[in-house]
Amino acid sequence: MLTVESLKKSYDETAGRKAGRHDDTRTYAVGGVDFEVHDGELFTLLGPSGCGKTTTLRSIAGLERPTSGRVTLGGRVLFDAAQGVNMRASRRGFGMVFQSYAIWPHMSVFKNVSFPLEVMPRAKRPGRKEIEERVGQVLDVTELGSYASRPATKLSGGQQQRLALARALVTHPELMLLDEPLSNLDAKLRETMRFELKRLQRELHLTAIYVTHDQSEALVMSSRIAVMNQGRIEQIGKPREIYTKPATRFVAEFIGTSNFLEGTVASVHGQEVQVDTEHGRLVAHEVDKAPAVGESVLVSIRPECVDLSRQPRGNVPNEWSGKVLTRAFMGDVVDHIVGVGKLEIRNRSNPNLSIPPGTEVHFSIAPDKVTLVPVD
Amino acid sequence: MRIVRSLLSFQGLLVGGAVVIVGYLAIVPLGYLIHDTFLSSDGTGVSFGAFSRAYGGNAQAGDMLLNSMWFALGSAALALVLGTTLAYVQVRTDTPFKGLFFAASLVPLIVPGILYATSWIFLGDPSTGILNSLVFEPLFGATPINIYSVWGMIWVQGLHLAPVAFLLMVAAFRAMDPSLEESAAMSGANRLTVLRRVTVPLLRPAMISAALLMFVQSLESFEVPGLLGLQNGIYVFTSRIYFVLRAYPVDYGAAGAYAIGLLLIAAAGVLLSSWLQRSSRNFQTVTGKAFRPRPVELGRARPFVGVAVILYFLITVVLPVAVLVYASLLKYYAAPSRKALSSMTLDNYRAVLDMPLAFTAPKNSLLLGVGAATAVMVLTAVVSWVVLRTKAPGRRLLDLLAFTPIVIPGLVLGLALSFVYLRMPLPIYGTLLILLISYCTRYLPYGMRYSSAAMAQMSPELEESAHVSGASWFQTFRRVLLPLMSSGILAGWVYILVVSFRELSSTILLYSPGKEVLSVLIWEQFENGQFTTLAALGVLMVLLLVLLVSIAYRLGARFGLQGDSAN
Amino acid sequence: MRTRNTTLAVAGLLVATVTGCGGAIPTASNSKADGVYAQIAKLPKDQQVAKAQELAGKEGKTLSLYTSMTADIATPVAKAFEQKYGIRVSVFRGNSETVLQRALQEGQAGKPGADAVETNFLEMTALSGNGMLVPFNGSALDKVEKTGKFQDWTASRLNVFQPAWNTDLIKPDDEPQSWEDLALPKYKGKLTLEISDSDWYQSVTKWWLDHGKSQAEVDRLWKAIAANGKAAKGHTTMMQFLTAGQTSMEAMNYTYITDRARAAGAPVTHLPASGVSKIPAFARPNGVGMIKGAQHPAAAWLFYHWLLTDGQKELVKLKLTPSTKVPGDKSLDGLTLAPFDVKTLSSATGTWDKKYDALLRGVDTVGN
Repeated sequence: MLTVESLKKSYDETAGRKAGRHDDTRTYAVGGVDFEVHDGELFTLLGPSGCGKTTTLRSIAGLERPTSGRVTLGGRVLFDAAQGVNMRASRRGFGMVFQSYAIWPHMSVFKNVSFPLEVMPRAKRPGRKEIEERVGQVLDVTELGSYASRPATKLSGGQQQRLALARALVTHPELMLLDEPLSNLDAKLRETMRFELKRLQRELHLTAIYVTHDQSEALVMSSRIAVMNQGRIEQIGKPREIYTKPATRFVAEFIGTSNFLEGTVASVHGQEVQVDTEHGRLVAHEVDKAPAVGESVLVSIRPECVDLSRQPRGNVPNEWSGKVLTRAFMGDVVDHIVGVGKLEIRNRSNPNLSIPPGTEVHFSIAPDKVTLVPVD
Repeated sequence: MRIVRSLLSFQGLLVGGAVVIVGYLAIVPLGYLIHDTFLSSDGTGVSFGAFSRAYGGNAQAGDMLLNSMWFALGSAALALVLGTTLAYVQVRTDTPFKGLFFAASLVPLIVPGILYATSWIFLGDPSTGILNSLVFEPLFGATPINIYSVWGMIWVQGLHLAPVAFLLMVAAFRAMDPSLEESAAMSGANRLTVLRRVTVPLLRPAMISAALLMFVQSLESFEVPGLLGLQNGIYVFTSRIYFVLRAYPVDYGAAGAYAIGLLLIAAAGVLLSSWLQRSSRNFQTVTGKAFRPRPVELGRARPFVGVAVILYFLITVVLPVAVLVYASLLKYYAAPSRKALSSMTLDNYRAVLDMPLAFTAPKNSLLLGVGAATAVMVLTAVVSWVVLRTKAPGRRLLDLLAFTPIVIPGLVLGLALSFVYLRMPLPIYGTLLILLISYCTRYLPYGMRYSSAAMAQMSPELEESAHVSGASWFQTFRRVLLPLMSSGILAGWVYILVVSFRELSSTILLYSPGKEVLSVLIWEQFENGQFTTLAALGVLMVLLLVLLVSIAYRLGARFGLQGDSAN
Repeated sequence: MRTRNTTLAVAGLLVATVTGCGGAIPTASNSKADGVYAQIAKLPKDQQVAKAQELAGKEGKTLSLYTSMTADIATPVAKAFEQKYGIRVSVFRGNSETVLQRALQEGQAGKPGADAVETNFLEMTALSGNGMLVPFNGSALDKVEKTGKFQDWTASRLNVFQPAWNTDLIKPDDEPQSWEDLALPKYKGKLTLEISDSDWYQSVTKWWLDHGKSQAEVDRLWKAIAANGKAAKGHTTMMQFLTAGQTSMEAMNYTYITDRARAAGAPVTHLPASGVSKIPAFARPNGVGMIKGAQHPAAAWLFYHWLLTDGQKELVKLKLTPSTKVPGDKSLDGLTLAPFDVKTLSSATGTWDKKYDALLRGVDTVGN
């Protein structure tokens, strides 16, 4: 299990000696990050570019020296600013896939993969035969078996990506670090590689930290996701939690699309929370922790949770009516934008529902799909 | 038809123009040299008599060849190791004293060879050298340093050349994707293994290129072999050429035969280097991504590296410059003693400023230096593109041709140029233009190395992506290639600026009264035997050039170039 | 667009400055020059100077001089001439071989850039041999000794060959008394020989042969001298190392170089403590000549005349050895002059160069 505790990284070298002092005015690329990665988990750091996810990953890798904090793996301390411990990247024994793949152009495919085995400490270094076997295995797993003798630069983008993966896998590392490994591939290939990677991770029971800015990639592949923004973690949770229960406005906005309404808590009865918005009252089921009466909240409703119908159903909670403003057909789904006064609500449905603009419609939202996000 | 049309396009004109100019610059002296060497004495046929005069009889051609190769290889190796190490430490580590690299990379380049070698004589003479008499004798009771040996020559030449390697390798390190090294570290390779198995192989093209340049430059340099080698009868090619050229009637054929010998060695070097680089065609390491260089932490080694940096700085910069400053304050040179110290004076500086040429010469040198550096770098950027990026027939020949001026002795170049331009109805002979042409010719090979090293490391995709986005060839060249090559180009520019301040061997034949340059002034002081005035002039020149180069880097930094200044 | 305009402007400026006027830009050779030379030569000697002055005024009162005088000599010499005749002198300075190369190149292209030339014996001989010079017949020749007069050039000053030593390192007892002394074992490792001094080598060899030594004896002496010494390049450079005490003694240096270093306070000399040297002092002439087809022939004539008359006093002031007798000249004091054999020297230089080079490199020469 990897533990990261209050990790901070600043590139502001001039104030290097001010760490931990009150007059610490530096700007942080990573401003205090805590998380754990469990064995066999694919843990994703998700966020927009510049949010500090790559810096966090590189700090774990040992390629970057954090300004403060602590990183441990199992019982091993990899980094501890307070004790002045900073294990070299080469001693941490991780596998890493770089965004640019960082394939060595002067080596063949085979040599690229055998390199990590060849540079092992003499005591642990496998023999020539075993190296060949292990490289063969990992090349087969990544479907590069027939390219072994080719110069690495003669591979296609997807093959180079798999080669980078093979190189990271060949030592059976305790932890795999993947820095946007799919971002340089075309859309179709990216889709295939997602499942491919996930399959490998499951089959080999790999523990991995995956960095991406692509939310759908994160949702598909991750065991858990940490959403990062401006050097801090906004929320950690399983993909479904992150999606359905965004903890902050940033998470709700960054992950998927959402309808947002501002409101005030009117009453709380057990799990049932009544929220007054400008456009009417909504009922929400809040399982974790109910807000207090009078508190301002942000209501987030996913478009696919908006049930649209031509006729009012009556007797369902949160049923509103409005007029279809636009309709957008997107193949597997269709979106309707419904105007309720000044408010526009996006609905996403199965494409066999199709209502022309200008039609009066009704829609409802199940209370457990109404997400209340605290306003800070 | 297509060829005609493409030749008439703007690209065609620009590229064609550059190719023609480079070819012209190289062919004029080469043609002159070949003509003089192979023309038989009756002036009608081809003859090889010059070669038997040059290499036959008691010329000791074998010794000369061995000495030359040994000296050139040793100097190139020393300079390459020093320059590459320094470049690595400067670009890739968190070494202390980064500011010193700037000076250490420039000062030996600026100090004219005559002065640098003379300083080392005063430091390393086996009997009276300051190092022997003030350091080794009292401390160890021995005088181990003998500057008048092949080792001494290699030492001085290597130190003098190390900045060239440094500037070339800094550009190469800057342009290299650090994730290639990081991925090796992540694979578990320790720092030494990363260096040995990834960094060095990837930089091999740049290193071979630099090594070749320094090897050939050592072959054709004369100051060090002239001042240090002759003492013990260590003759090299250039000392033979000097001997031949100063006799009358001048045996141009024999001089040419030596120069052609040099040319053959250099050509062998070029072939060897392209053979060594044959597998590195795909090593383009610049991917167009902005690299934020993440310094390697030296950790416990940091103080030791710091000490090494200081030591290097002391040896290459402080010692020789201190000797110069010391000499510049004396009436005549004497080893440090109470008597010498008490007679110190600023008279030499006053004498320099009182010279009638005190302002004309620096002005002309500046014009020529800036002009030659700019012209050569623009030309070679275009030509290196032709050589590396097109399939144009004869591009290899062009590359080789651009390299030939490096072995043409300065005096032969001067003769060739005066021969041609005296017979040309253009106002070139007798003006600064002929010096400009001479400098452009002489420094063409150096510009070529800097440009093609920068070009070779750049992935063609960058260009292609610009083309795809609708940019014309010229726009691509100016807006994509030049900026990406800027680090290498700026390094080359600075190098040419600095060395053109020292160029003497062709200048001395081609300058005209009123068109004197600094190197002529320095030579005059040297001829006058005014070593102390000369030292004062040298000190002032070092100051002037350090100032100039700092300005160049500052400007470069402002326009978004990656400079090589340490900041 | 702005950048391009700036670039163009800068380029334009650069070209303008680089090509800008000034200096001696040689144009086609002056066909009238021979007429001017002849016009002056025809006149009675006492009218020549006035005529030359008049014609020089018409030429534009300028003179282009190519010389191998060092700058600290050439500058005051040019200045003194300017003051006397109001003729502006532009000086091209170079090694004697550079002066020769440049003058030959320009002459062969039919575009002489020089009007007058002042350089070493060998180079003057070469210029003369290539038909580059015009004979001079002015009254100034009267003061020059016969040995200083050549077909179309005249000796203007003398470079005198003597050994030189550092007085801190060579005590009066160890001073050399003859050229033969240089072969003594006590000078082992103390001697420096200049690599281009083949004319000295030839002069001494000839002197020895003429004074009763056999070829074998001479060869043995040279071998011993070469074994005592190390090679060095450049007479002035050698003097630097001698003044600094890096070296103890030079087999040969020009006396004026030693004198000038001594005048600056350096502990060097070419005279023994007694003040009189018995070592045969060979005096090699440097000469002045007028260029055929020159742009300013009258000015060249005037300079030729001046250098052999008033100019001689300037040379004495600069501690050089003039080619004529000038009151106050002390440069030859204490020296025993020996004739400098111009004939053999100018005829077979190539072979002597090679033999001297072989001697320094310690290889046996083939033949003699």
